Order: sequence, then structure tokens, then C-alpha cells
Amino acid sequence: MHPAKISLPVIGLSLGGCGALTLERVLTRLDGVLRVYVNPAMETAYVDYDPGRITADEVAKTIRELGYRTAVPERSPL
Amino acid sequence: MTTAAVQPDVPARVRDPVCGMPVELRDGAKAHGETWHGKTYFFCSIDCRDRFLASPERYVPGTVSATTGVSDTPGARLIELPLPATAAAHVAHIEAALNALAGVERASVNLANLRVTVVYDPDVIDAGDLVEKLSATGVEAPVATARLGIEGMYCASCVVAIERELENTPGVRVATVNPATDEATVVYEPAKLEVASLRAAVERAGYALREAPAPAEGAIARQESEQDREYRGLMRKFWFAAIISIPVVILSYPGVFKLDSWSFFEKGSDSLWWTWRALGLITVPVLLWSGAQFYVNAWAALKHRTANMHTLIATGVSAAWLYSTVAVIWPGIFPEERFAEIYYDVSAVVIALVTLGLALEVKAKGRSSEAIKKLVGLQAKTARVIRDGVERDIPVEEVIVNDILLVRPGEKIPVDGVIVDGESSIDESMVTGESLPVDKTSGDAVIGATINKSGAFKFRATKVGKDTALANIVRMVQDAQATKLPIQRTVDQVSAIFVPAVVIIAAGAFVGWYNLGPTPALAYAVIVGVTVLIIACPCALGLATPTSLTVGMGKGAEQGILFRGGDALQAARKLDTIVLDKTGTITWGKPALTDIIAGPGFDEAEVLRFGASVERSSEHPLAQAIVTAAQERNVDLPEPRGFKALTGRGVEADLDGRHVLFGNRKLMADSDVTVGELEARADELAGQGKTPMYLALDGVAAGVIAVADTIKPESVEAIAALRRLGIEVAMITGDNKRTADAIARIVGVDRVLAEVLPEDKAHEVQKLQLEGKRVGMVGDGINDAPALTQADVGFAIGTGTDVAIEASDVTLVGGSLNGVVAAIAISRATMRNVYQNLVGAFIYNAAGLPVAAGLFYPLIGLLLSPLLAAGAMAFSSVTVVTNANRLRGWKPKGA
Repeated sequence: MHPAKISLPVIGLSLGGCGALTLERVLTRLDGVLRVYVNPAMETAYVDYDPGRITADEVAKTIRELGYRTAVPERSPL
Repeated sequence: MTTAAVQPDVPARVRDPVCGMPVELRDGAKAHGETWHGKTYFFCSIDCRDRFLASPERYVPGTVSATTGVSDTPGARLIELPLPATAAAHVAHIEAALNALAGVERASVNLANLRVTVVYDPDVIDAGDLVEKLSATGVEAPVATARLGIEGMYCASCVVAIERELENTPGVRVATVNPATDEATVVYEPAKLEVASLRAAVERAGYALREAPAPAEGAIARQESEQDREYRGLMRKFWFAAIISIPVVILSYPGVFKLDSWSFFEKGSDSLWWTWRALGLITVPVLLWSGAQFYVNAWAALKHRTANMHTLIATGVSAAWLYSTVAVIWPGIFPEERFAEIYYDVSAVVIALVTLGLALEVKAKGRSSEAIKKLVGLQAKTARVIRDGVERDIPVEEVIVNDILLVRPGEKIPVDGVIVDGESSIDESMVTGESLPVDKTSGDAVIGATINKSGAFKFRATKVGKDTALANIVRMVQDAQATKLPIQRTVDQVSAIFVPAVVIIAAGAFVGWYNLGPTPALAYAVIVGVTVLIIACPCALGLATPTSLTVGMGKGAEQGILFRGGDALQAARKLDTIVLDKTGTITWGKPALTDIIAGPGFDEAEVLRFGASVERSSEHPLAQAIVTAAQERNVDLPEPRGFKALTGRGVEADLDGRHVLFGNRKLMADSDVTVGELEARADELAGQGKTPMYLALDGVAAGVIAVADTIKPESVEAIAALRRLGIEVAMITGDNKRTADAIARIVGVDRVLAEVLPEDKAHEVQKLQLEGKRVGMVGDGINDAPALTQADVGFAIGTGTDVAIEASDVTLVGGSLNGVVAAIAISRATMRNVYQNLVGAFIYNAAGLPVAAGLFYPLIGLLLSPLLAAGAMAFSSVTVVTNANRLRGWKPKGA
């Protein structure tokens, strides 16, 4: 299994620290997500996941469910 | 591509030997099978099968192996690369170089058609690499490669169509498509081809060219405009809440605003009740529109069974509003009428203040990541390319390796390359951090995104797209943002238990005030509960570390210092010993001429002219240094006759009718040349770590030329600066003790580790660590990679365009030791900022909580108003981000 990495912009991550932490906790609980870091300063979620168990779109969907806006980049940036 | 032989255990899925597409054998009807030499092969389409039948040996390289004895090699592929006419002289060299490559099965040169045929494994090496290696052998193939991303390749049809269209394009030699990466590798002759025609070919085949994976500029620009939109939206919500808050606050406290003398606002009057009902109504849009994000987020969090700041705010303002509304509608349920207070002002003002805080935070955060965003924006947009002798402006994405590009004064250099014609002075500060422009001329490397100051020049592109130095820098800086400072992990653990703990404290405070508090107990209990919830947000705590880190790393990037992650940034602060690799770090890493001493009756110019002339054709680095120095001084170098290299001693030749001997002391002794007093001078030079070489003309000692690896001008100053920071500086080198000491004296290091074999460098670092020191190792990242890894922080001195050095924790793009000083200084400043933020945020949370819970009320009558709590909460985040942004103005001392 090769873990995949993705960085997702998270728009509306205001009240920085708390929102980031909550988002991080929720994403970590998703099946197939290996590691999550939500950087409130960059307003970006860095997610390592097992592509066999979850897709980037599903991660993005969860972020949206939590009330933030995000989009899966077409290709990983750069 | 596995060639599928029909055997009892036929795999369900095989690869088409022609195009590499997977073929499902379960629906056997669809797989086109063909038998050749007793084996059956399957194809994804008739197209592929026909192509296979036309020349099966091309696709089954294993079959030709019968003659060479090489076993069947599944997955191998064959490519023919054109060679220039001059290749005839280097056949063995070319074949050896290619055969030595991992992934190459067999390479053989065919001089009849000037081709080299290579059988290779496309999973290990691709055609582009082969061409690159071929160029590296010194045999410049008159071809270039381009990698094209292709869109829409998920369809089950065949990649052969794309290859065929590409290969039918004039100027294209070979095109291979890799369905695994959606990329086509095209080997072509740049003189005969435009990238546009490749695009057309791909489109003819029914596919589209993916735009070159340029920097994530689009994504960042989008994010920036989103941030801007968010800020304006929040400000609109703030103004709305603020305007409504004004009458609500005034009418909620008629006594405070001296309105109670007016009978309209008399306590208990009908008119006052009506006013309060009106206040309840106008507060609703504040809650539902200005405060909408709190409810949305709180609800979303609730669905995922978590609570956050939004939950706290939403609960707090709703509780205040509901209590007031109950009090207004059913005042009877309160035991005494005076309990029926209203707190609509709390709802409105809290929302206004928190929303303002959010808006300011969004604004400030945008500035924190400015330095990083600026890096992406450095990329040039267009390039002026010369193809077929015609100058044209093209988008930078279309520049391909080996294109000749023209840069005029004041313009940005579009991609990385090497100057082929002209000279200029170039401002590289945006990439290397070096503020002085650098003079460059033919043969020097230029970095994309730097600015050409004075002259016009032509250069050959060597790296484009995602391979450029800038793209690597951007990627490294962005990746570093995905890491946490070690200290942040601790903070996160604290924060994670904070919210549930606060809810319990709030409930406890509510119960305590309801039972023990002064009348009206319920009102006090509600206020205290709400205040505790609001003050307790650990937002500032969560923002403290990442914001400082982002600003600090951005600051580093501006100065050409790239931290690989938070760990390196935190660790650099505590280093107490820095080990410097001598060669390439303290010194330039290549020899240069340092001294010319003329013997009696000769002058220096003469000595240099004869010395350099006889060394003209030598490839030894020491000889090169002398020739370069002579050329720089415009000395004419005539061709000597009868040149002979004398292994281990020097060279001899005839020039201007004189017999020239040039070499070491042994050469002089062997040729019975009396060196006389020159010997003392030469020994003195050797004592300084230099290599002296004697010149004799017609058997008479004429002079000495000394060559040495020279010290970079900034090294002395940088080492002194490190020592001023209280850091012990050690130099590590393979040189003998005498030479090492000579250099150590000049640069002023504390400790010399001489005669260390390259493989022992890591061990030396470890020994220092065992002494209890925190060791930073500085090297070029190639020979000393294990030492860099062993050290607590490994610094790699960059070589201009190569920044992604694996072994290092910190890359110094500028290649100067000053970068180490600046990196440590940035680490210290950033960590100081982090601690300020953490202490500030923690004091705010920890101290605010008991005040909000009313613990001080019985003692000194101090009780925090929920309005003040909301204001303080909102601005604590703003304070943290603003404090982090102070780092943006940080400057290294003495710079």
C-alpha cells in the first residue's frame, strides 16, 4: 500500500486554532486516513491516506460537511 | 508489458506488448490474440495487433536474446536514438555508458545509420533519461526530449494512436506513451519542430495536452481571492451586528444612559416591555445572519460528535437570547419580577465582536503566508525563444529543454539554463537571498525567475517546468508547511482536552452560581456560564505555533534558507556546535591560482605564460586553474610542441624554441634542475595548504606557481558570527593536519578534525554528539550525506539550481556560510515568537477562566462581563497572528 498525500485548501477556517483542531480530529477518524495536519496559518489540510480505502473526494466531502469550502486540486500542486 | 504466453495458468489480465495497456482476458472475445514464435500475445485493439504483426521483433525484445544468452526480459522496450556523425570515434564509450545504466538491457551502436539501439525497461528508466545520459557521455545527440502530459487517457482504446501521430510529426524521432503516468516522452530534433505541432498531433489522435504542471499559482491566487471574499463578507456581517447592537445596548440599560427619568422607560412600564420585545425581534437577524457561521459550524461539528469554538459561541448567544425572550414573554415564571432581566445586548455584541475578530484574523493570516505566495508569483510568464533563427515570445510553459532563449536587460530569466552568448549582471536575491548582483558570462548557469540587470544574453534551457530551481524551492517551502513544530504536538494534546473540560467548568459554574450566587441567581448563572464558554476558546493557542512557523519559514525562503520542516526550525535554535566541511563549504571546492613567484632573471608574466601554455591540453583540475587564471589576465597561450605528460611528476613540452618542464619538486630533481632559493618559497606555500609547481626553462628554474582551493570571502566573517552566537565551530576535512591547521588559522575555527575519511565524517559528528553537544553539520549534501543525516540539523550548501537535497534539514540556496548564521538566527527569532504567542494565549485562557467563572467575585467583587470576554477572545487570536507577523520585519543583525 502506497499512502497518497494531498493538500486541500480549507476556506473559512476562521477561529483558527479551534476549527483546525476539530477538523483534524474529524478527518483522523475517517477510515483510510493515516495522518492529518490542518495548518490554520496556511488554511490548508495536509492529509496522508490509503487510496485503496478512501479517495481525496471523500476527504473533501467531509471537510465540506463541517462547513468549510474546499476543492481537490486537479493535480497535486507542483 | 508482460507478454502473455498461453499456458495452463493464463493470467486474467495481461499487458498489450505494443502499447502497455492492460488487457482483460476474462472476456476473451474482446482480446485480440496473435501467435508468434510459439507464444500468444494479446492486444487491446486491432490497431496494436497490426502494428505488432508489422515488426514483432520490435515488441518482443526477449526473442532476440537467444543470440546473446540474455533471458527473456518481460517489460523491456526498444528505442533507437540518432547519433551525430562524430559518434564514430566513441562507439565503445557510448555503449559502455548506456549499458552501465540501471534498466538498460542492451545498447548497441549501428554506425551504418548512425543510431544507437537501446533495449530498456521502461519501469526503471525512460527514454528521456536515456537521451540525457547520451548527452552526458559528451556525444551530443542532436535531439531533445519533451515530456507531455496527456489528458483523457482513461479510455480503453490504445495509446498507439498517440504515438503514431506524434511520430508522424516532422522532427520527431521517437515517441513513447506511458499509460501509467499519462505522459508521452518525445525525442525530437529541436531545429525541425515546434511544440505547437506536438499539441496538434496529440489532438489529431483524439486526446488533449495537459497544461504543463506549472507552479500552484492558480490554486494560491484562488485561495487569496477566497480569503478576500471571506474578509469582506465577515466585515459586512460585523457592520450589520454592530449597527443593531447600538440601540440594543442603549435600550437594554436605560439607567446607564440616563433614559430612566423618561417615563417611557420606567421600570415595569408597558412601553418598556414593548421596547424589549422589539429588541428581541431585531436581534434575531443578527443571530441568524451575522452569526450564521457559528450555527452552521456548531451543527456540523455536532453531527461529527465534536464541539468547538463555534459550539461555544452558538450555545452562549442562544442561551442569552432564549433567557431574555422567556423573561419578556412569560415574566410570571420568574419568582420575582426583578429577576426578569434581558440580555439581548449580550447576543448582539458578542456576535459583532467575534465576527470583527474573525475578519481581522483572516486579514492578518493572509499576510502571514505572503512570503510563500510571493515565491510562486516569481515565475516568469513568457520567454523569448529563438527557433529556426526566428525570435518569438511564447508562454513559459512551452519552453523545452535545449531551447535557446534571449533575455534583455531588466527582464526576468524564464527558466534555468546555461549562458551560451553574452554576459550580464544578474540579481538573484529573490532565489538565493544574496543581495549583490552576480556577474555571469558564457558557460555560467542562470536561475529562472532571477532578474537580468545589465546586458542582453542568450542561454540554453536546461531545466523547465517542475524541474526548475524555483519550482523545487516552492515545493519544498510548501511541503514544510505540512509539518508541525514538535512543541505544537504538545499544545494540540492540551487543546484537545480543553473544550470538553471547559464545558464541564461552565456547567459547574452555572450550578454553583444558581445555588450559591446572589439574586437574581438564574441571571447570574446564565451570564457566568456564557462567559466561561466564550473566554475558554483555545483558538489563540492553536494559532500560536503554525502562524509563527509560516512567517518564519517565509522569512527564511526570502533569504535563500529552506527549512525542510518544523523539526529543523525548532532544533536549529539549540545547536551549540557547528561542523563545517572544508571543501565546498569554507572553500570554493575547486582549485584556483594563488601565487606566482618568478625566479632570478624571470618575470611573473613570463612564468604564467609558459606554465599555462604547456598545461593547455591537460584536463587535470590544477592545470585548469592555471589556464583559467591566464585567460582571465588575457595572456596569449600558444600551442606547445612535443607535449608529454609525466605521470606523478608534471609535464614537458617545447615552446618558443625553449624546453619547458612544469611539475613538482621530483620532476626538477629527476631533470637535474637546481631550484635554489625557490624551494624555501615553495615550502612556505605548501605550509599554507597550497600546491606549488615548479617551472624550468631550458633546465633553469624559472619560478613557482601555486594553486589552492581558495577560501570563500564570506567564510571568515560567517564563522566569526557563529562564534558570536556562542557556537563552537569545527572544521572537518580529509586534508593532512598541517594543511588543515593552516586554513583553520585563517578562518578562525575552534576545532580541527583533520585526516577524516569521507565515510568517517558521520562518525565524527556522532562522537561530538556523545560529548553531549547538539551538532549542526554543514556540507554539500553529496559526499557528506551520512554526516548531514547523523547531525541534529544538517545544512546543505546549495549549488544554485540543486535545492532539493535529500539528506539535509536545511538547504542554503545561496551557497554561502552566512546562510547558516541566518538560519540559526531565524530559528531563534521564530521560536522566541512562538513562545511569546503560547505564553500569551495560555495566560489569556488560563487566567480568564477563573475570572469568567466568577471565582474572584466573592473575594473582590470581580466578575467578567460576557461582552468583554467576547471582545478579548476575538482579539486574542488577532494578537497572536499580529505578533507572528512582526517576524516579517525581522532582519538579521548586522545585515
